[in-house]
Amino acid sequence: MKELETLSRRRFLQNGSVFFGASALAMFASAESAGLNEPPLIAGKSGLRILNDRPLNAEALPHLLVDAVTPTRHMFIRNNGVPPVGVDPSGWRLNIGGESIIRPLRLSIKDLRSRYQNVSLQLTLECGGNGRAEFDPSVPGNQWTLGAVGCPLWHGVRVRDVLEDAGLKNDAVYLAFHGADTHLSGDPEKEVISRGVPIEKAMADDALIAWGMNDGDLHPMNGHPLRLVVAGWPASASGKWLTGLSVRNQVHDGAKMGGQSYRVPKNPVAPGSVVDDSSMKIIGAMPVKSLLSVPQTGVRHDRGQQLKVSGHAWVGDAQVVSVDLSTDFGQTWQRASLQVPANVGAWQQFSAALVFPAVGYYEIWSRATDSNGLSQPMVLPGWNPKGYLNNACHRVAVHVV
Amino acid sequence: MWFRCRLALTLALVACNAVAAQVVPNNELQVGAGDHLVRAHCLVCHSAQLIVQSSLTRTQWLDTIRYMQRKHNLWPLGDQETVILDYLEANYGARYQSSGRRKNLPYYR
Repeated sequence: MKELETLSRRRFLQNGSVFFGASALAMFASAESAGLNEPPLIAGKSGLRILNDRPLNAEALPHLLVDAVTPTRHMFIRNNGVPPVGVDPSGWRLNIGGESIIRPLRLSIKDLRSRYQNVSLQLTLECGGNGRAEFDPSVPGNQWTLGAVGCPLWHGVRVRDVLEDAGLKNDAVYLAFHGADTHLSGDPEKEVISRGVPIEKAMADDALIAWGMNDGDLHPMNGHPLRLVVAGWPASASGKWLTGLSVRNQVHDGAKMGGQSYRVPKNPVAPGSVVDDSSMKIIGAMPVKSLLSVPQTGVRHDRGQQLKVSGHAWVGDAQVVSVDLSTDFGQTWQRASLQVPANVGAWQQFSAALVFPAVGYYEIWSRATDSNGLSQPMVLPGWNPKGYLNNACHRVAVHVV
Repeated sequence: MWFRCRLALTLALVACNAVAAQVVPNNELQVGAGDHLVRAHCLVCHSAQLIVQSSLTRTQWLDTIRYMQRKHNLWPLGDQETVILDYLEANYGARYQSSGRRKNLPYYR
């Protein structure tokens, strides 16, 4: 019996690797075939730093995130499993169900487009683990630095409109997603990731079921042909390759909802602490943060000139009210000009022109403050076992000559 | 002069590279006692990059193995578990950063 189990598991594994092999071939030109020192390419993406190629995880280089609307090619990739291949959008179906749905629905993308109000919104998605690389002691997982964030223009329908069509029972607590990606082990019984958000957030203006980004379809690595986009919450709450939505009468208990995944200690802990699962809570809205995309860190700058500085600031379920910049390690701050968001859930652009008193080494620090009165800390705000929610101020180096 | 041209060309290529290309980290495990076991048990499902980018204590590595067993179908490792932990600890052990201020920013040109 045990042998049989092992055999069948091995078969899963073999199938899994063959399956991945095929998709990998489609996605990458291998280093060998492309020539010496050529990094593998992901079709339709550029300027990404690949952290992991199985599962594929890649972040944008911060100095390339200059656009107010993040181009598809620079939108980060965070995969937990193996994306589906051979996707046929016309045959794709989205099932709406769960304990707290009155009339379950089965919808094609055409149904979604024709039955509900189509909306295009710029919504910020940031990986909960963006900034993990700065944790000390370091923690397991992909070592994201700065670029697991982006704010493309998404096209779809509001989750609210679809759920209201299906009818919500009074006991609705949580929206859960289900996707078509498959487990790395090849085990067909295992769901890769099935997370979601409390029903109140699912019903908000900035929660979409999206089929498009920017001027086209979703990128295959960003969820083609259908995904959830819930602005301002850890991007893991925005399921990709969306096949189902369940409205639950309890906090959803799918893959990566419990344990230590996407959860942080209820009370602050000393760096390096072991924290019991029962003392952890699910991450909600992401904290206020900013990114200087201009200049690139390490820039050489002429003292006689003003240095134009710009970037983005964002926060989950609130608005950024100010961005301050320092060139003297936080001793003094000057206010940047800040734009209002294109819509609720979009990041905001800031800019300033800086002058430097003398030649030498400087760092520009950016610190955003939100409408709840919370600002970015200068250092890692609170160590946690899986390295989430690092919203420490961004720094870039400037050599004034 | 030729050196200058070459320098300019190199800089241009570097700049070009930063915009167009994708940056990939090392995907090779360190050579060491037990690396073949890590290859056999871990790299069936995921890339070496998940290990190479980590620096964890022995306890964190053991927790990671248990997590993989609990959630991701990793099988019992038997006697080989100790060898694997020795390898991971020796090659990808905890790397404490200096305390005080945050890391120095790297130069790019």
